[in-house]
This record gives sequence, C-alpha cells and structure tokens, in this order.
Amino acid sequence: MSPAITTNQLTRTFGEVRAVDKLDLRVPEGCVYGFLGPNGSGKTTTVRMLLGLLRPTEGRACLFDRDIRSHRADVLGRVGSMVESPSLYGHLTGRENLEINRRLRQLPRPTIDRVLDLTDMTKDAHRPTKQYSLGMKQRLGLALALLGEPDLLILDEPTNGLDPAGIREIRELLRNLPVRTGATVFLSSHLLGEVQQIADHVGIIHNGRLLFEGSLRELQQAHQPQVEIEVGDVDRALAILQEADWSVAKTNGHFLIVTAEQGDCAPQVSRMLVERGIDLYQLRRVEPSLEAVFLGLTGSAGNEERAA
Amino acid sequence: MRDFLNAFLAERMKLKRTLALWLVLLTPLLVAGIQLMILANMDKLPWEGVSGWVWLQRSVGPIWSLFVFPMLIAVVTALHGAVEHTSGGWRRIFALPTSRPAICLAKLGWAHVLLLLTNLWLVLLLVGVGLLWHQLKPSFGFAGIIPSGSFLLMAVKFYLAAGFVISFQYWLANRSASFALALGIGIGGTFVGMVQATGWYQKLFPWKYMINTQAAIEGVPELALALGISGGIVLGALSVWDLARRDIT
Repeated sequence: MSPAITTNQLTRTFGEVRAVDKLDLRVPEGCVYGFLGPNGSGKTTTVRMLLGLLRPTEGRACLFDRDIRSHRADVLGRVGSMVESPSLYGHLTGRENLEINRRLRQLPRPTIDRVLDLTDMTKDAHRPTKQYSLGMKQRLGLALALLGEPDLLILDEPTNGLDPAGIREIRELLRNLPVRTGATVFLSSHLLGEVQQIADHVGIIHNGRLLFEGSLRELQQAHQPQVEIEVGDVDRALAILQEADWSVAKTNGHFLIVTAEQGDCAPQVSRMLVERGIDLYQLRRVEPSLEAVFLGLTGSAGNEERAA
Repeated sequence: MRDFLNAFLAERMKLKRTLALWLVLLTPLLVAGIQLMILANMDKLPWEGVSGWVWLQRSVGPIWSLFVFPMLIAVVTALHGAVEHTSGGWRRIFALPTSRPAICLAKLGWAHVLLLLTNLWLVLLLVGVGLLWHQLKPSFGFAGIIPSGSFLLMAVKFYLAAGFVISFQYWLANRSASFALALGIGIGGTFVGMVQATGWYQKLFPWKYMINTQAAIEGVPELALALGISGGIVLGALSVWDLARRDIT
C-alpha cells in the first residue's frame, strides 16, 4: 500500500531557527497517525508544509505520492484539514461557514447535512459561530475538514480546549473514521495520552527532528526493558549489580530498578544475586509507560543538544 | 474561471452581516442626508442661474471625492481584509483545492464591486434628494429633466479614478493583519490629498485622482482617469500575485 504522506528531508527555517530539520515522515494509508511533540517542536510548521501553506526551505512533502507544491489542487482535493484552532467566520452561521467551503470545493449541497450530522452539529447550525462554545467550534472545524469525504485528514491539535466529554466524542469519531471511510488520519498533538488512545502509528518530533516513527508497540519495544527487584540487603545488591556494570537505581525501601542494555536481564539478575547470597523476595519485569518513553526520547534529545 | 466564480460566490456569502457592507450602504445615505440639511438651511440657492441639480452635483462632488470616498475605501478594504485575518481564514481557504489567485482575485473583485456600488447608490440617493426638494420647495430649480447621466458619469469617474487607491488599500489590508496599518495609511493619504497644492503633486498624488476628474484644467481629468485605471489594474495584478504566493505562517 502506498503511503498517504511522505516527506523527504523536509526542512523549514525562520531566520536562524530551524523549525523543522530534515524530516522524513512516512504515514501508511488507512491508519491513524499521531504526530507527537512538545509545544514548539515543529508540529504546526510541518502541518503547514504538508498543506502547502508554507514553502519548505529544503526537501519536499508528498501526499499520495504527489508533491504538494506541483500538484496542489489535485492533492488538496483529497485532503480535509484543521490547522491549530478552527478557522471560523464568527459573523456567519455554522451552515454558512460550511457553505463557503462547499462552494470552494465544488461539492453537492447534501454533503453539508451529512457532516453536520456526523459531528452532531445539526441543531446549532443556524446560529452564528461567534456564539459557539469552544467544543462546538472544534466540532464545526472538524465538520469543515470532513466535507467532501477526504481520503486524508490532517488535524493539528484537534482536541485543544475541549472538555473530557468533548475529547471522548472527537476521539471516537477519529478512531472510527479509517474503519468507516478508509480515510487516513494524521493528527498532531502534544498530549501523549490522547494519541495513545487513538493512533496506531506515531511519529515523535522534538526541536524539528524526528526522533521515532513506527507503531505504538514498536515504540514501547524500542525502549530498554527494566526489572524491578525487592531484596533483603539493598545496598549490597546495588553494589553487586553496579560491579557487574548493570545500570541500577534505588527506588524506595528494598526495591531496585535494573535497566538492561538489551534483551531480557531478569534471569541474569536473579542468578547473580542468589549466587552472592542476597535474599530475593520479588522480581518483576517493568513495561515502560509510553509517557516514560516519550519523555525519555524528548528529554534525552534536549539534554544532548544542551551538552553539544 | 470556475474557481473564480465559486470563490466570488463564497466571498459574497462572507460579506453577509459585515460592517463593510453596512458602511457601503449607510455612508451615501449620510452624505445625502447632509445635503438635505444644507438645503433645509437655505432660502435660495447661493448661485444665480444655476439649477438645483448642478448645485447638488457641485456640492457633493468635492466632499465625496476628496474626503468621504477615500476614507470609505480605507475602511471598507480594511474591514474586508479583517474578515480573514481575525478568523484565521487564510489558512482555511488556502488549504482548499481552489486556485489561490482565483480566491485573491475574487476578493479584489468584491472590493471593487462594493466601492462601485456605493457610488451608484449615491447617485440614486442624490436624485431622490432633488426630487424630494422639488416637492418641498419648487423654487430651488430641481424641475425639468433629471440629469441622471451627468450624475452617473461623475460617480463612475470617481470610481475609475479610485482604481489605484482601491487596489493599493486592498493589498495593504490583506497583506498585513494589522487593521491600524491599512486604515492609518488610508487616513493619511486622504488628509494629504486634502492639502491644497499645485504642480505635479496635484496631478500625480493618487488620493487626488478622484477630485481631479472634476477639474476644469485641460488634461487633468483625463490624466487622473488614466492613472487611476492603469494603476488599479497593475497594482491589482501585483497584489493578487503577491497575496496568492505568500506563506501562511
């Protein structure tokens, strides 16, 4: 299957600042792709380049294997988008806002009712959007993006400012979209928990650079496995393991965390401690949380840069 | 062409309930109302042997072309541009498959349509003022054939001579998100244009083109029209080219 989005060495600088730095993305068709990164990491700049709103300084962005710059109209005809907050004309009603996009996209009239229904906005469609709550604006923004049944949805922080119920609604809608329509969803967010619940693929960006790309499972597996142990004599166990070049950290009470360089270290750790006469009460493998992985990746990238 | 027509219709919808549209309708009403007030304060026309229609044209022409219309151009284009800037509309419409130049041309088209309409509306209202005053005070010389052609020609000339200023103000208003910048330059241009001067400045300063269409000096009205129209077309084309290719940051 051809990818919905590919970028090749995509770079954008603003003066001296490299907002996006040699980004190589590959978003498989039909997936929900979470584009994760802290605030200011280059997510929105990337999204703008994907939509042709911003010219890359170097490299190129392709949607459906076609360069966005040279095939703008063809490519954008298959894309629905929402960049940052929803762009709504406050003096117009929800329906009028949709009518503008419908005309510009040259779509049939019934498409408006379909997206209003899909986003549960039918009953408020006659009201000026300046009267809308943030959640309603977000839902109408999504309705605008869904107009014309796009093959690819590019959404920048789609759950920003929503209450928990609103977040759940949007999450369900986005999660089901590939199943219902076959569309690919590319959503950028700084909230790992949010992406974790919707996406099956993730890309992690920090300071404009892509630190990881793959499935959520791959992300978890890429992290070094850890073993938590409870021992009788913590200080002696710590010394033994450190002597054997293990990376060990004391947590609380009689617990230690051992991080393996690679593979599973549980058998070796237990054997070593028992052979040296340490009472081993408990041993369990620790699956690192995605949050730890995310913070580990973005944190260590930041540290490396500071050291350089 | 299809993209342009769709963009033009979409732009029409965006103008609904906007202050820009209201100003286009209300400003000529205000000017016509002022003329009625002036007439109400006079016992007879100040000029002997001049019909009421000629007086009306000479009374409105300078106020409109030198002050009200240039200010209206600045305000209407600034408000029209603000529709996109305040809503983040550029990133929405430029992420659609519609041709960018078609969108920008449709916007420029509406700026021109609005400002032409306000001139035509003024003509209608002035005719209304004359007819009303003829009923109230027949001695004011509003009898006879209504010189609607002359009024219409004056209004169309004002609009055509304003082409340069309209395109320039449109460019400013859509290029910069600052409402104050476009409005400030428009107000500045209007006031500088009101300064009495002679020589090349009188003929070439764009905010003077509108009143120059009524000048009695040979060649000046023609020059004002030529500069207004050609400048409007060149600046209009440049503005569409520039606005369509810029980055949306």
